[in-house]
Amino acid sequence: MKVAAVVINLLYFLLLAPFLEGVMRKITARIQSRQGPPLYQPYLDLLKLLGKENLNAAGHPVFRLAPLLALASVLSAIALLPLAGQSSFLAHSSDLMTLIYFLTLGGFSILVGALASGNPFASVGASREMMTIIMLEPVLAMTLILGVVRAGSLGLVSVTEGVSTNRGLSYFLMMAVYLVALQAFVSRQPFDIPEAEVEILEGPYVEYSGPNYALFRYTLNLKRMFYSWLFVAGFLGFMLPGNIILCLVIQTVLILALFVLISVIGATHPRFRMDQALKFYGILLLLALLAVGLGVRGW
Amino acid sequence: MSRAEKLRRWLEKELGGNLISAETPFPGRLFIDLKREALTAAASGLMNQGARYQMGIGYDARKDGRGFGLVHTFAFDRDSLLVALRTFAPGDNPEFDSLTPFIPGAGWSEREYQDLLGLKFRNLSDRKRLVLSDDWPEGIYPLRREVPHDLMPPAAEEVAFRLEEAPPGTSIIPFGPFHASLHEPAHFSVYVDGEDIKGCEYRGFMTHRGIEKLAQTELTYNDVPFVAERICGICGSVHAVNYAQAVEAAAGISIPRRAEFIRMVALELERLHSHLLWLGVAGHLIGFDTVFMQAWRIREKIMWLAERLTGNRKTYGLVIIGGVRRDINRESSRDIRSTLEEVDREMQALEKAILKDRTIHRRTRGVGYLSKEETVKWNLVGPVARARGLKIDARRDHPYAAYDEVEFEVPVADSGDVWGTLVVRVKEVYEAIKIINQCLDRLEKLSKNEPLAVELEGPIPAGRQGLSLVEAPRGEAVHFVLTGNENRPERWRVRAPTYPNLQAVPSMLLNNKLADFPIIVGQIDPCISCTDRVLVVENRSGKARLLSRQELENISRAKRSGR
Amino acid sequence: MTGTEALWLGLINLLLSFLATLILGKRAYAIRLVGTLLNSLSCFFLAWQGVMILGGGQPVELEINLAGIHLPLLLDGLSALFLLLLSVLVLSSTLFAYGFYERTEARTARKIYLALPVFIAGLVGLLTVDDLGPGFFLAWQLMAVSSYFLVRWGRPVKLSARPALVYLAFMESAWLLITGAAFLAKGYHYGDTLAVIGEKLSGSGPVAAAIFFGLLLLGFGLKTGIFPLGQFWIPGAYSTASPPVAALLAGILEKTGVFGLIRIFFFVARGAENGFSPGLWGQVLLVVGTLTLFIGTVQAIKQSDYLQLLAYSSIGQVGYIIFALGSSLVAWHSGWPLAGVIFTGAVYHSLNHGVFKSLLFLTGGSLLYATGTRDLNRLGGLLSFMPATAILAALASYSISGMPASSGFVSKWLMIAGNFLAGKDSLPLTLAGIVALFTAAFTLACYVKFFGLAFTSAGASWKLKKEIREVPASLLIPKIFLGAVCLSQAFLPLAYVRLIGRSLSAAEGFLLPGVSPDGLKTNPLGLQIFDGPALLAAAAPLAMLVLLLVLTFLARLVRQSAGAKETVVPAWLCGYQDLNKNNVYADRNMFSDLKKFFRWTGANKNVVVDDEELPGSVPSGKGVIS
Repeated sequence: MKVAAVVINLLYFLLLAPFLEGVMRKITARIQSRQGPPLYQPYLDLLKLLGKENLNAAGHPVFRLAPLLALASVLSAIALLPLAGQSSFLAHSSDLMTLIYFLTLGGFSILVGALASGNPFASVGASREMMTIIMLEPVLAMTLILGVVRAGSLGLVSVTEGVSTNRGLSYFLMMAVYLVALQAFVSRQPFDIPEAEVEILEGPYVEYSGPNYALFRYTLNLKRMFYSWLFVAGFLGFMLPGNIILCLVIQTVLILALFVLISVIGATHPRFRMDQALKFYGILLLLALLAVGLGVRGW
Repeated sequence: MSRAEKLRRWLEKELGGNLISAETPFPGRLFIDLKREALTAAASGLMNQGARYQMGIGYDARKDGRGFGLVHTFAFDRDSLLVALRTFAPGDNPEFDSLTPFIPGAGWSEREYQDLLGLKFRNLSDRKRLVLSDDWPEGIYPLRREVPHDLMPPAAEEVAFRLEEAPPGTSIIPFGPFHASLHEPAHFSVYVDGEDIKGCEYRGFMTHRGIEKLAQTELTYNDVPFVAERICGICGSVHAVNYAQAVEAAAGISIPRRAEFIRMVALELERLHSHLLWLGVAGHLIGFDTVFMQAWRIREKIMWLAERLTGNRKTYGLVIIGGVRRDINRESSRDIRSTLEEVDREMQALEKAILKDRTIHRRTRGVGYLSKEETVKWNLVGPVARARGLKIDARRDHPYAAYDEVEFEVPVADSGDVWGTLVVRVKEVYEAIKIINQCLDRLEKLSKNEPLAVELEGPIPAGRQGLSLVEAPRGEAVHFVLTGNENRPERWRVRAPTYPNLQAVPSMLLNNKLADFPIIVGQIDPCISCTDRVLVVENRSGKARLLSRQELENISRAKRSGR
Repeated sequence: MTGTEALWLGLINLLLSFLATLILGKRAYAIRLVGTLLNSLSCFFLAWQGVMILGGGQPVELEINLAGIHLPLLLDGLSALFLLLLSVLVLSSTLFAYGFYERTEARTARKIYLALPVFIAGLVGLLTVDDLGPGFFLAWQLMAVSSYFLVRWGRPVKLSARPALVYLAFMESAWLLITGAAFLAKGYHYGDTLAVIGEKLSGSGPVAAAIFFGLLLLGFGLKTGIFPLGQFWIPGAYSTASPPVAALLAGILEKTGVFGLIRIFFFVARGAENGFSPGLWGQVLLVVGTLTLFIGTVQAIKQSDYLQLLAYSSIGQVGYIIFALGSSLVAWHSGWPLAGVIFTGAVYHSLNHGVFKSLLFLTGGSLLYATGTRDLNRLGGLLSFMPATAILAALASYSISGMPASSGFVSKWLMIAGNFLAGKDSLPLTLAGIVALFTAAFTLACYVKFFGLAFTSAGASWKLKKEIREVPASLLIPKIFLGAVCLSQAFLPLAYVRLIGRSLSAAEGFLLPGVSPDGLKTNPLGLQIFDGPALLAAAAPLAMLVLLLVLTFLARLVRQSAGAKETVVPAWLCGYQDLNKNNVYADRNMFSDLKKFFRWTGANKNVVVDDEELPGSVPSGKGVIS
């Protein structure tokens, strides 16, 4: 069963993630008075990209390895997630820190691939991506640490449950911080600065095309879904031990709702500039720190 | 005593024998001929008296035995006066004094004729190629008489434009010609330190195809408006009207009232959809695609309206010398009014959303700042200048058509940044609507029997100068026409508003963030095609030629069928 | 051969090495060969000594009578562990030096080979002497003076004189602080062993004890490079000394400071029960460590000189160790069993950092050797020219960033996870843990930049007029050796934790009794923290590696699913420019907004001076590194 949980989780994310992008695009289109592509369009995009030629701007293996590692690390993080309140069989050799570092590894691979391409636009994007990771990964970490502080364990089940056990001041503060940071986690306006198409042409990905780019796109989709999942599982606490199907259904509905929110915010804001965003992130960091402090004090 | 009279006296006193003639063939213009040696003195004197430099025009007058002509034009906006200084240099020594030491904005004009006519300029600091493509061979000056318009010289080999090295401590980020924030080809080699812009080098004119050359070798007076319209995809009528006005002025033709108002309606409709287009693009450039989509949705109504009025969404084909080709009847008039009402309403909703958005404030305030002094120094025009506290508007300062008979405001802001430009443009949308409605009022009152155009009485006499202004959406566009024989202009020169505005972009970019590059370049709404005066692009080979209709069809069919 | 005999043999070897260099005069090749052989041999003996002590499980106390002065020595588990680290690092640096100094002119090479054995002997002494008197004086001065000269001879004098002098001044003031502190113990007799000092301290009142610990924190802290003291000398010294020496400075000299701190705060302190407040000093160490780790690392990302970058990052990494020592004290004071886990993490990180930082400095040395520049702005794309060095640099960068399935992950996991779990009831521990985690991202940024801009990207071949080639085998083998050690630290955490546990059980007077870490259980794959039956936390590098590999394979399947072909194309720069030395995004541009945001952390001056830029010096293109 526990082995199956890993597979179910992986399949659940792999299958649903592109659909969520479809939802995002549809809603954005509607806000912009457009029809928008069909909901299944992202699947077609991925398939199309897989069939294209792979262009390698660097000519060396690091460039080739980066997309593989990016997808693998995000999938690794997903493989660790509990399913329906039950820990996966990897729980005995992994914990919160593993999860956080796997996510960082995902970002790291994008950077390495970008720098490998040698394109100045990719380098600017990489520089921005890294700054975003530096400033925002701690917000994710602190959300989970709030759970650690409550649960006294780094196990993922206890941590996700821990976040919402005490709905006090710290819980609501952290929830607000996370919701704002979510926009950056999923790289939507106002925080899609590392990709900023009109300035640096999708930044880190500028040299990637075809299947390599498909992997990056997939990674991005999975990451978006992951961060939304974390909000649903952590703050809303719908883990429903035992009933996998029901749990998955409720999860899906809530994640969809969250994506609607993300799309609406994304469609109604312009993009920040990096220096402005950094100040913003700084404030988020302090608030998250405050929330953890309150959490330790039991509020 | 009028300004023109004062100037004439001053010039007579100052230049003495160097002044050849100074005449005012029609109101608001002063055409001066002077000797080559007196050019700098006269130009700096004009600048000291508050003139605004517009453009330089070079032409080949060797067949008249006068060598190469060079005209510099200046505007006195408070006095509704344009001044043209003309000098000649012998064909074997075409050297002039450069005006750049005291008018930096003259640099492009001078470099243009250095490329196209082989003129030489003393004291010109930047002598790099401006207009001709990188592999155009040295020593062939396409605007000279003896060079045929369809010359296809073999491309020079192993040549590349020598871009400057990055200053120490900076790296280059290459923007363009194919970049998401540039909608037309141009190249900016931007020097950055981190994400701070420390300067940039511009390489443009990648799509120069010599429309001016074409007009003076192949076309007739009445063909040109249609080609002129195709100079720009947005403000085509501006160029058509402007050209027509210049010719009409030179030939002394006065056109029917009805035609004047119809031209104004076309011009203001263009301003409307151009500003909406810009607003959308500006939103897109700061990552706000919803603004983009909504502004263009509103704009679309105007495009449809234009199609109903003229048969085309753009490129109306409305203007001919002596008038217009289509009428606006009562039914169309009602149509326009109701469409404008809708646009007005939706624009107000959009304006509210934009002007209140705090993130937009953050992304535009203080960005792309240029002081008023710099603005004057670089002779900026249009909303970009008006956002920097310069109250200039050709419609008010040098009224053409019937602008002196309608009421409108000239919105000005003094923040000197992108925000100011945005506010000015938004306000101008409402002013344009106001103007159109007044024009329609007047049109409805005019007799229906009035002709749309006057018949030309005989050929237009050669050797006359015409200088015309039209306030395009992006700012003042200037056309200069020197009439010629064979039913075509001897020289026709177009200066689009982007021409001066683009020259100031490096100053605007300085010390801004790389992320603001798109919106800073975007704030002038650069119309590369106006500036380059394009038709067919073969940049790599440097061959300039016209495609026939048949060829065009073949190409597009080949594309569609995937060949 | 007993441990003590091995120690003597090791020291004798070093003496022989010194003498041989003296005798051999100007025969540079012979000096290098003999020096390398004898120094490596002494590493073998020193390692043997470590193994014997750890294996025997009993500390050995000795007293040497040197011309009437008594020098007490203590060979216990802790010193054995650090001696093991020392021998690994000295061995690799010595081997590296053989190839590296090949290009150095004979005079300089001779001088360096004279100072090296003295320096090593001094380090050995610092890890074994058991007093703060004459023995300590001898060991410290051997170390300080010899390394002063090593720093001084690392670069042309014009560049090295100042940092070397600053270095010496700081070392000497540290010595003064440490020696002076001992006199605060009531009835202190110059030459008392540490244990005796501890006992005497307990009778000298809380104020004297507080000053004693404060001075020692300053003294040893100076040497480890705590904020803000380390910033004064570490960047200068590490980047001035030639890279094989810098590898030793960062790898082990710094660790002797850590060793001193452990000796004082976890051994002497126990003797001074009355005068020592673990809660207070734990918090002091925690604050100092957290500041050091944060500021050091943030300063590191601002550097374009990769040797400076490594130096600042050393400050940051040592900050982690001090932070963990502090939190361990706090946790122990509050009675949480996790103190042992965190302490284990601190020692583990000392071992790890010694290895990967040495590897990084040797990589830096290889870059200097191959390209002649220390400026990251001028490097790029070296992966194609020096693939082996690149792979090893990737390993070290990956490890120091603490990415999953690396040695850095294990030690950071032990420190930070312990902190979070203990921090359940303690705000300072949680906050410090968060800062540590936050800083881990900076470390990553630092090394992504280092690796990305030096080895991937593009540029070196245009910016340097020199032909770039992979370094010779003599410079590769020591790095491969260190790489292997680094991998073992990642995938055999169990073995290393046991080793640390054993070293502690082979030491007397450890503050946290029975620390073979309580609550830390191990399984063959990795480490787990239990609270009774409940699993609190777990990390298994090997499992993570397997997971990653399986999923990478899956990703590869997806990528190949449509049989896409690959074509190598030039980078696309909007269609007008080609990639050239002007438009490669140089290092100084990276993270510019972040650097501005953290301007207040200092070290913003980012000027890289290459030896060849000095007037009158020989360009390194000619093959001479002075």
